[in-house]
Amino acid sequence: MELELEHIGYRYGDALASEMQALSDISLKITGGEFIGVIGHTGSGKSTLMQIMNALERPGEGRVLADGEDVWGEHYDRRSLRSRVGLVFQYPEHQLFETTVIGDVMFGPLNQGLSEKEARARAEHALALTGIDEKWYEQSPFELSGGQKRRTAIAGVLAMEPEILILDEPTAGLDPAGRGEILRQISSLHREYAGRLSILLVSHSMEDVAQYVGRILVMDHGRLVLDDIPQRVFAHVEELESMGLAAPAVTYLLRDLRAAGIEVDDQAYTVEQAMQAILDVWRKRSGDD
Amino acid sequence: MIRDITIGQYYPVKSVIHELDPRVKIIGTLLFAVSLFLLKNAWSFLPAAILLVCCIRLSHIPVRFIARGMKPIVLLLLITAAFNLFLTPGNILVQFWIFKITEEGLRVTILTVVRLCFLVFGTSLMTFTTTPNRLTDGIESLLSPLQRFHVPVQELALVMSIALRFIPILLEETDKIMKAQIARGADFESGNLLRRMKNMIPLLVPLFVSAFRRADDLAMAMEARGYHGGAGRTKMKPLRYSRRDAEAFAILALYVVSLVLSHNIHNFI
Amino acid sequence: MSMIDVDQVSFAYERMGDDGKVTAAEPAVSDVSMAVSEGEFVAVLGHNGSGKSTLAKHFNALLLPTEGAVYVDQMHTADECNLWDIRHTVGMVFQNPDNQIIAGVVEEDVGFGPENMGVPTEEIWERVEDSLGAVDMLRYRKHSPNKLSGGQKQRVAIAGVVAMRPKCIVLDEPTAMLDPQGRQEVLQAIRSLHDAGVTIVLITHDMEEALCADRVMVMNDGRLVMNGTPREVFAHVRELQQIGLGVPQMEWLAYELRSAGMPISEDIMTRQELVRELSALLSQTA
Repeated sequence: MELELEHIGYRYGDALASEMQALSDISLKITGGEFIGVIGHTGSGKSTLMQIMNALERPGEGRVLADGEDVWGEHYDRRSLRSRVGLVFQYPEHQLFETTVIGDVMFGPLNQGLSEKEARARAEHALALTGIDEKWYEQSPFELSGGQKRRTAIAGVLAMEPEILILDEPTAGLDPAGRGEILRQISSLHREYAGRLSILLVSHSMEDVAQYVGRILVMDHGRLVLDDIPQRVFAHVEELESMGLAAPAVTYLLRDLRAAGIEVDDQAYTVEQAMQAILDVWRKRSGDD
Repeated sequence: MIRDITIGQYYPVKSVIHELDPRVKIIGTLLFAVSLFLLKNAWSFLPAAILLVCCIRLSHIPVRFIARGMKPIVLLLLITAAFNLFLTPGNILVQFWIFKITEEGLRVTILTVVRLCFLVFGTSLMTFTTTPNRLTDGIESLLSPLQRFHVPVQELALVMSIALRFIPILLEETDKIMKAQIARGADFESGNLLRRMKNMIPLLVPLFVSAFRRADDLAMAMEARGYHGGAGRTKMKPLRYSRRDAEAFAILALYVVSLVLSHNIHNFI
Repeated sequence: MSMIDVDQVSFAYERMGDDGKVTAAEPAVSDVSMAVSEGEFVAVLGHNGSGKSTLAKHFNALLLPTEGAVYVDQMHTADECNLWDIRHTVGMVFQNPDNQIIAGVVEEDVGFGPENMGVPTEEIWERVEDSLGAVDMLRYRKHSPNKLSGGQKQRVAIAGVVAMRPKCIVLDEPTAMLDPQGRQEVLQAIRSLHDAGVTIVLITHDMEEALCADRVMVMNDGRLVMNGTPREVFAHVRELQQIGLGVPQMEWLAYELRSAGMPISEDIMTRQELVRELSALLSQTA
């Protein structure tokens, strides 16, 4: 599916939602099968933007178009939009409520009007994708470990078979192993649904995002300041720093080497790429001898 | 909806009323409320009105803001007024169709409306000018004689202040969980009462789980910070009456005297 | 002198059946011995479930060992009479800043600990001011905690512990729920407390945070598996990755380059060090 935001503006007037931030003039387009990272510090408006994408929040200005149709049009079915644009909130394990793991994951599909049998099939598939073993299906979700709870909650959204999946800081509070596991699963999910599933990954961590995504949106003070492929986003190091963000550590290293007069490719932004870039120079030098 | 309710909110400005000892304000408000219901004579509302107007002026809170607090009770006020106006027997003043308005009815109605308005204005003035913490301190101090009868006053006061701190947190959490469940297709709005109650489960279970987790964490943190009941504790902000509080008590005493006088005003005229 | 002494400690969480009887015991810490000296800054690293938080709760008698003994400033933690002295000697900061702030006004929350200790009113004010100053939160003293950012709330929580004037502060994953900016603020506060002479034990799963410690201890499956300076510990890149800990990018890259045959020394810690080595290596042949 194609989701387009046109000149979105949002002002928050809700006393309860203290984290909400105003948004101004945001335009972007998400086409099928993309893997996008969304970066910005707390209060940059990224969470609000994600809620606008699945019509949980109504923008004050601008239009949200799903396959060309205005989602705030009079007869638009926003409930079905919400199952096509799945949103996984921060700390999603806090929304678990059913007595069994499988029951909780079936909640979304059942709300979509599927039969018990279909919902169960969907739930089992989603749990398999997030790596929750069958032996847990009939257990209480509150018996699971922290990482398993989170993956169960993600499965709960995945079981609705969305065409766009938005994950708001899916790795918050997890240790490096748990973080790696979730990120790997998300990226294998993206491969599995090749072309049919777009993923938006909201994160604080440049390193996490850099490793997986093909496009990065950078938010700052309610504005979309950068929207480009990772190499080109990380080239704006100074700009990122002025927003309280940073490029991955290896990017700095390569820039330092270049500044020291070494002809190294400084476009790399993961450890593997950096290693390759450095080894290339090293081998060339050794070969020259 | 929640934003409309101004009763119980604190209005942060600097004023004489804000700086009064919370105990003075609690006693004053109680006295004022009781006096409103003992008054039968129209004349005796004059001192009450003067006291209220003076306090509002001194508090630097815009009248419009206080009046907003009336909003939730307007309906109640209208119904009470209507009952009194049409159902009080006595000398008929106006009559149309099945409705009669009597002299006594009119009198009672006006008295009731004025009473309720004064009551809301008076009590909200107390909460507008006193932070919940100060209010808790005040109640704790006023109830402290009950400790002799083994009522755990200090502990109750602590429970109250913790509740006050966590209300906004839990409200925000409710909002978040609700949105998360709506994103999963939950419906909190349609259906009959039974259906709606059932639909609340995906909201209520996570909310309770979270509240218990928070309580558990909090208990651990309090223990780590050396909390072991009220005994042996000192206070960072002990309540001490100042000269201004003495003046306030004097004014309250004057108010009582003027009430007694106005109540018997027909004896003098 | 030893601030905390842990002697062959094991601890198991008990699971209760429906009848209230203990049905199973899950070991969380097994046979750990370690010590923290006065004035030291120790980081305890481990993945979730490695037993590091359980161990930390033994440091101020929130938990008592099933086997072995813990001494805080020479006081045996299992001795009931020492309980309050121990709590006043070792303060504890937890993960979720929201769930450890009790009062509705910042300064009143910081005063909570001293109030419990029975400190006289004037001194409470002094302590509150000092400790809010120590974490750079003085200008928020009249604010409601609800309006603060995560990093600010956590600093208030730290101030609440500092106000009890403990000799040692144990922080149990204080940055796990914070954004990068909040994390920097909290780490800054921790470093300045250490500079002021407070013994620090920082429980974390983040290697970058452990870099500023004097000593790093690594926990895995309830056991203490490494104990040394950050340089010594971080040289073991593969082992650390195997037990589920992420290695900082510089150490990782240095390790990979070394494995690919480049002669890079084993104790690279910072970007500057790696840049220095690499530029020497890559330009010498030119």
